[in-house]
Amino acid sequence: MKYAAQGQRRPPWYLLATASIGAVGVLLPLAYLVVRAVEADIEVVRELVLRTRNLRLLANTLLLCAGVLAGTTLISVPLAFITVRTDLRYKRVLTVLCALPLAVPGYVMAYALISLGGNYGILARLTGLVMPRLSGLWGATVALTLYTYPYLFLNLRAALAGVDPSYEESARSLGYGRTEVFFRVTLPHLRPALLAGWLVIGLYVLGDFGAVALMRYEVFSYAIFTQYHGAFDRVYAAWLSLMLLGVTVAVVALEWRLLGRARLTRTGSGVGRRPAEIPLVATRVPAKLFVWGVIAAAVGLPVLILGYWLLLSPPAISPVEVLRSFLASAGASAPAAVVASLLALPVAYTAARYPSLTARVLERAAYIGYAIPPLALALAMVFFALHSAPLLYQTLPLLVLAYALNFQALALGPIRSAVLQASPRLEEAARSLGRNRVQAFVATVLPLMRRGIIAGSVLVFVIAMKELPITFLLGPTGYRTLAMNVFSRTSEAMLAQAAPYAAAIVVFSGLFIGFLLKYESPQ
Amino acid sequence: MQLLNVRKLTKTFDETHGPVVDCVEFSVRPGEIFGLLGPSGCGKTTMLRLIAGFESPDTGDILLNERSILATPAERREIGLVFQDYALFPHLSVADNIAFALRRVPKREKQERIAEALRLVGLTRLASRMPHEISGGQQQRVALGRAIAAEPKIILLDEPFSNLDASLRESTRSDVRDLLKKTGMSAILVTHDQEEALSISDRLAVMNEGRIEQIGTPETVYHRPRTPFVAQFLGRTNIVHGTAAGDTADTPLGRLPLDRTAHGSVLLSLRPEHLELLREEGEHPPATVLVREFKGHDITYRIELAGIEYLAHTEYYRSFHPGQGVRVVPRAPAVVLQYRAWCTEQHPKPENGNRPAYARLTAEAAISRP
Repeated sequence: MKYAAQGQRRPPWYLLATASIGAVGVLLPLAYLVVRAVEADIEVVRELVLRTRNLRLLANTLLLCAGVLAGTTLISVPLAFITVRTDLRYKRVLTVLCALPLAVPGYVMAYALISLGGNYGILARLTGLVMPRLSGLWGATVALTLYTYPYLFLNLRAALAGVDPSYEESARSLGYGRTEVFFRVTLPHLRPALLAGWLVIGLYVLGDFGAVALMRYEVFSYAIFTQYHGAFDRVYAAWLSLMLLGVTVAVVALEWRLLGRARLTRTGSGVGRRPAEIPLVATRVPAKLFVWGVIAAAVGLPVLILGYWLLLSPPAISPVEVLRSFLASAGASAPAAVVASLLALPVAYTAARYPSLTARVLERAAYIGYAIPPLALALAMVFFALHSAPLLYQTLPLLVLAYALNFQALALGPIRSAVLQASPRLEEAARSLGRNRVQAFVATVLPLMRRGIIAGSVLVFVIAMKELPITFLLGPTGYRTLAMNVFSRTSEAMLAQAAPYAAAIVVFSGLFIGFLLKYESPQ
Repeated sequence: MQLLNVRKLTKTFDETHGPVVDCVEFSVRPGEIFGLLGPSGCGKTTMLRLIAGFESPDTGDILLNERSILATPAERREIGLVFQDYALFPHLSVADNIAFALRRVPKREKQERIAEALRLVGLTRLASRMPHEISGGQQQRVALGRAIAAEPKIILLDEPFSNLDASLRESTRSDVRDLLKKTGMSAILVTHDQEEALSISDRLAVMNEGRIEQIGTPETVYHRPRTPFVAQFLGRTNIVHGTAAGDTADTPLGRLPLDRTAHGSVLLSLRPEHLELLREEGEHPPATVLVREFKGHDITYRIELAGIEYLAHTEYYRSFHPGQGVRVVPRAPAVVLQYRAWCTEQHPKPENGNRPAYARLTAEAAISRP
């Protein structure tokens, strides 16, 4: 049961103050980014902004987005339909397998694809077949598609299961065939889920750095990194970040516009009746081939590659080295998870108990932290630290803070639903029994939120373990996480050496896949 | 001396919808069970939340033992609250829920006080159960026990029986009344169920659209309603237009005795059980039976007289059939109604914002002309 707050009371000042920390934390560095970009000489700025290279970066970025969205849609729509609506057996197991690529970050997927082709690739070594090594637009598109399609797949599954069967049945009774019903009735109902999935994937593609860098495909994020890291041109890096932010804002605005109309067609969730399963007859074999094909490419391939390197050509890297790297990742991710939950808690509470414009703005600000490309956020944090807190620059606390600001939105979801499930009457009952606001919250609601807070923290922890671009820009000197090891060794063509680190990430993330399935798919 | 005094309390959430609580005044005496009765949305729950301290009024005052408590935060008002959904803490056992109310009680005394509260509500056996492991009626008693254990000055009960099965409601109602009376606890009970309010309250206030229309004992409010709304809300009634001249009024039902003197055009309430139907004889005007509803212990008739419909209850042995001619004989004086009582110091609301209930109610009540 969910409870809405009563009346239009104002939240107490201390709640507003704590709830604003996350928003300020995101917006303040962004302000520094703008300051840094515009303080340069006007002639320099004109030259930087009007470079034709920027247009090429924009075209490449949009092309990659379009390619990945098309690819993920072509995979996810049939996959969701088959695993929800047909009588295929073992659908539960197949669903988990299809969601498993979430455990394989884009740079690991790129690493697997790079390992496969070429003269000395694994394909050549195992079969003698020489396949050109994937790179550029194609390579980046395939790597990101195979990694990100589960976001769309899980969204579509939930939406398909929620479509009231009576719509489809009435269309059938009006003389439409199954295919027509799918396109005229079912698909329009999936629109919100499609848009939500596309937004997540689009934002991910805009922000991705590992896969595009390994595939040597020049998009904004890659260019920001090379400008900052290689050319040390920080003003240009700042301008590129602002341009990427502009693209991000355009994507979010487009999604809102499209969703605004789609919301009207959405049916209520929690329909009691589930649609009947469609028996596969002539299409049983193609359906099975399709599902297993996707699983083979997205899960089988990375597992095969990692298995090959680890078993047939084991690198000379001691497990201690991998463990140290794992602990480095965890050393930043674990405190980040705690900080992110602490930031999210007052925001979630304000949004649930005092729904108002202020609460919505605070909540949106948390999502801005998640939506802005990580390299832009990291660069903004660099400028902020250099300008206001030089002692923090290249220290672990700054990295932890950046992670927390980036991922606080992930903690917000589970924590918010935990607050909503605890009745405000409980707090009022505690107050009528002599507790003040804070005591009442601690005594009654906090114990009930434990699960939600743990869920939010673990989610942040797992995602932060895989983080690459922020770590690259903000990590203390000599700080090497699992993700950094995979990336740097792959980009130096030391493929076998990257394998243990990549395997550690995949195994670790895989352990939490059930968890991700539970909390990342809409209820 | 009054225990609780509510003085001209007004609360508006949204300017466009007008006040939710509008210049409400009433007082509760020590040991009294005070009912606050009204349809949903009439402002009675907001009233309760204002007293408890979870909302603050725009104007007006609330006095507890003659001292204003408006500036006192909810946790220091010493006002107990039993919620509609009980608000038992789901992570605490029955005993711990009650212990929650005994924060300032020394440890040694605490166990004794918990046992005492459990005994009071008859749940000693269930002390270690969790809230979800006990029935709705038991949860309700835990909530009441918890509120009483804190020894508040007064207890507020918000629709306390609405979450119970109909079969359980009546017995719980008398249990709660006995419990409150046994402990001498004062209580305000909010309900939309007129039968509940009439049976449990010592006195009750009828609320409508944010205002109190009448305060009185259940008998007074039922038998001598002051406004058309009260007459209607506490059971079915006939609203009759008439022209009064002192103790009587001329109406379509003939000359009727009045419960108090009045002059000129008046609106009268006559409960169906106060109308007797006789076969055609005597001086009363003739009427026709339209519909007959047999209800076991009595029979309700809809009759038509001079183009207007009326309701009448008769004993089961007086049987008429539709179409039959009858005479209508009032058995009790007609109750003179007045327009809604406006708050003395306030201007009446503008006509378009809030029409007097009178106009709306007569349309429904005096029943359509055929």
